[in-house]
Amino acid sequence: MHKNMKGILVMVELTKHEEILLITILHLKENAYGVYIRRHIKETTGKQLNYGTLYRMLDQLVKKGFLERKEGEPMPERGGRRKNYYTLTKYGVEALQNALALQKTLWSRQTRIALENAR
Amino acid sequence: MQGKMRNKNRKPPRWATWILFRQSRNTDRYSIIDDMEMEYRDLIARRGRRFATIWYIFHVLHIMPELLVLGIYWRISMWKNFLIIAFRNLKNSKTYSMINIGGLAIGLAASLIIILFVMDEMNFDRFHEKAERIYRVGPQFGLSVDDRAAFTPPPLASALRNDFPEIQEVTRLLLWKSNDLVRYQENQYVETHIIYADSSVFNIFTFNWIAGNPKTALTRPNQVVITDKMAAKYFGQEEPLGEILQIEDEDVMVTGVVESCPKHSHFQFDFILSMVTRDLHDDIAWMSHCLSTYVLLPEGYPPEQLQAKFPDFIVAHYGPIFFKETGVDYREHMMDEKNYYTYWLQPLLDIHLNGDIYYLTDTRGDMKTVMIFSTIALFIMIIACMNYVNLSTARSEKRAREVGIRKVMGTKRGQLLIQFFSESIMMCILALCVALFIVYLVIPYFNMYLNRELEVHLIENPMLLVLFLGFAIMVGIGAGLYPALILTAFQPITAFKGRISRNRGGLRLRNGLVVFQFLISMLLMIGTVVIKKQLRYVHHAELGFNEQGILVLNRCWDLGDQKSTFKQSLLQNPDILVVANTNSAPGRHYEPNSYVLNGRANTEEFFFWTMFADYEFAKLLDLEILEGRFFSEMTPTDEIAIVINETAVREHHLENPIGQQITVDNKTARVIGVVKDFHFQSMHHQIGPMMIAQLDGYWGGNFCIKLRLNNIDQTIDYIRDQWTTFTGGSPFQFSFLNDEFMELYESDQKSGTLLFIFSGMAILIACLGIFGLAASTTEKRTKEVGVRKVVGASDMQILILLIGDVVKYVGISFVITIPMAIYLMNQWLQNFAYRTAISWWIFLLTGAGTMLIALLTVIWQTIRTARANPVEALRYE
Repeated sequence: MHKNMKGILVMVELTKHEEILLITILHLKENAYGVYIRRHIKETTGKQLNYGTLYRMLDQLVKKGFLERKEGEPMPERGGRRKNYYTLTKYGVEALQNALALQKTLWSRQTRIALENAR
Repeated sequence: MQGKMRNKNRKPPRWATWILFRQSRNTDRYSIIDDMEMEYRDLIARRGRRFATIWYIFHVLHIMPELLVLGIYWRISMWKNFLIIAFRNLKNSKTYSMINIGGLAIGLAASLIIILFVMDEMNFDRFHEKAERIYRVGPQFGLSVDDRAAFTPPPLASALRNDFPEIQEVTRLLLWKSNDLVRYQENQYVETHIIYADSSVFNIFTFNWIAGNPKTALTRPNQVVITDKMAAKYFGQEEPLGEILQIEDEDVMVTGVVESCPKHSHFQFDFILSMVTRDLHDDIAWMSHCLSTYVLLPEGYPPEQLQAKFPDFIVAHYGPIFFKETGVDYREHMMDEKNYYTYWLQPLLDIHLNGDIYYLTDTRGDMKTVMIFSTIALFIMIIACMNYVNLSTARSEKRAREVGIRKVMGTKRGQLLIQFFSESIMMCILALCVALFIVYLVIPYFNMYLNRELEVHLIENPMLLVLFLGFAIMVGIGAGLYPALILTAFQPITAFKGRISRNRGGLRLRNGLVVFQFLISMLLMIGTVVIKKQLRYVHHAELGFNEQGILVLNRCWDLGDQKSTFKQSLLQNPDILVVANTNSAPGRHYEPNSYVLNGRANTEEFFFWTMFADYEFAKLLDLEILEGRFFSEMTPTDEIAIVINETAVREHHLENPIGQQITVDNKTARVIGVVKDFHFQSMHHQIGPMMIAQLDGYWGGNFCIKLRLNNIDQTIDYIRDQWTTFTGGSPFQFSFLNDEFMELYESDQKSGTLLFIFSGMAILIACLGIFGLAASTTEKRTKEVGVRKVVGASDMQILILLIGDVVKYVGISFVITIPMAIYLMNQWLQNFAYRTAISWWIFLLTGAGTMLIALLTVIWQTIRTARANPVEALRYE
């Protein structure tokens, strides 16, 4: 458990969806906009998130302190509005690292063998 | 190339975008729209326009649930934010908040109590299942509604039942206050709530049965139904059903036990005896109006329909009897407007509030009182709200900076409004909690005082809680409306400059509100003073007889035939001056009867309030005889001697009253004297024509004993001893005449006290108001005071300047109060046939008192400001 920037205690274990989102944003670096996030997820996992879900999760992750919402340049196509793109905070990175570590311990060699034998 | 250029200008369908826009309410609103637009264009390129449009529409609809959820999350966090900020603001200005909450709490508490009271009043008799269909029949002695009364003759009920099949059920109740000794084994008490009822009473009225059968409980003579409280009192743990009680030495059998009668019922009882026990001359007593008749009509049957049939009904039943007695055709008799007589139907639910003629029920409510108290509650609430408005606007300059910054940061006015509303609502809810606490504390006293069972069971009655909460929120919005509008209207630039341009209109409004507050307070105070004055007038007024030291001894029939010896033994005591035997006393009930005067047309009946007394009565009360004489010790055997009062002579146009003969009960009575008018009823009523008839023997139920005013206790003991000796242990019941007389004004006294309490509250609120205002103005004027001092004003001059405002406002409200108070007080005094004058010193007292209180409230602050060092003050900037 750690305290995010609002001082609220937050669990470090990520849900699967959150994990996927964070990894996607990690990959996308500068291009982590709504459209691209969605497309990337579709390409890598095959899940077709709709915008509502997407933005809800993004908002929650921001509130938890794993993501940061930044404003980019104003764009004429958007009528002069700025693009919002998301980046990982250090807590977000930490969360991913913990997730990876957890993954490794869970999916150790013994687990894989056990799974094979269980079939 | 061309295709690509066209892409850039393609927009998704506008209506779909609009839906999206409305659905997404968070800060990222445009992100979603823009992202979807981007995707849309992409799709046009890849899969064509039509596909892209379909996809877009589908997607918008698909997203809606999610966006809804998102919206809710966002709204919750927004409200939470508002509340947190509101709370923080409250904490920052603790004094103002406490003053505000205090004032609101007082106002709310007063309003809540009055709401409870009014609800209780309006809900009288509602616990009967068939309440809406129950009507009481009453006689109407003339053409106007003022000629309506409440009591009906015994034969009416069965005649109604026979003649009108549409009436579902009829019952009668005899509701005279009883004074009977009830005994079971060793327990004996005098009971005052014994009533008589027909067996059909339980078919109309709903009472919860504990034991016994309602259908058979009152069908035969000497049956009684008792309440569970009485069962416990007399029988303890034993089963009362089937047991025999003695009521005034007559055996009655308990045939039923019901739950105690709720307090909000227009009649109360502890015992119900079967009506058939009494011999009521059913067939002929059509003019003896002594009991209450109730009917149950079918669903939706309009009472006017039945009412219209009554005149013919009366002709059919009473006509023959009238003809036999007078030889005159009843219909012709009725042609004369003076003789108009019919019945009217009063809905059960109206009975309590519309008063009862001649005080024969326990609880008498008054629509007027309800209205008056509701108005008072409303005004107190308004004052409290005005306080809030005043204080908030006074603080507006402090908050101007905050509002300016927020506006620059981009907060819209709507959001600011919500912010301020949530502040005022929160204050109101806090005030509600305090108010509820106050109400819990105060309610038991109220109940005791007003003889009610007001309850504040919020847990059992969630509707009540919702009502109060709703009320508080309404007040919050109402009170917060004006300040919110004012505060959010600031332009950032002017706010930052630090000084708001003097809002002329706001200032006038604020001062107007102060004037109004004091107006209300002063009105209430004057009301209190006038009521107290009237009560004192009534207390000390010339009653026309000497009421000092008169002890009224009840239940004298217990003496049996020893009455004269008892009287002699009393007169042995030198401190006992006069002993008179009467059937009533001044202040008690007098029979309203009409008689025929011999020598006048025997169709004309003359009205007299009637009582019976013996020859000592005039000496007892020091009555002044104007003409003729009072009774002598010897009673004439062929005629009854009667004495009438001045008003009787005047109203019935008797030129030679002495010797006038009157027919009373088929016997002749002769007037032998005229007595000077005296107040035998409360001062609410004009003195009416009265007759005192001579008692033959000692059959009056009371001995009125005049005592010497010293050693009263010992004299009472002496009487008690004599009583016990003569009656062998009957209850000794007595009261003093002047006490009884005072009880007639009980409801007025209660009104007076309540008014006193409410005026106290109003003044308190008004003072809180000017305290807060003074606090804020003194801050603002510190600089001004400093400058004035530098220029050479003295402390005293400054003081006068600062107080001058307060004096001005109280003065203005005083001037406005005077005519209003005069009008209102006259209205109230109409209740009394005999009133005190509204003297000028009442106004002086109130005005000076209010001024004093107001000055005291602000004095501490003004002195502090006036004495401040100008150097310190000017450093303020």
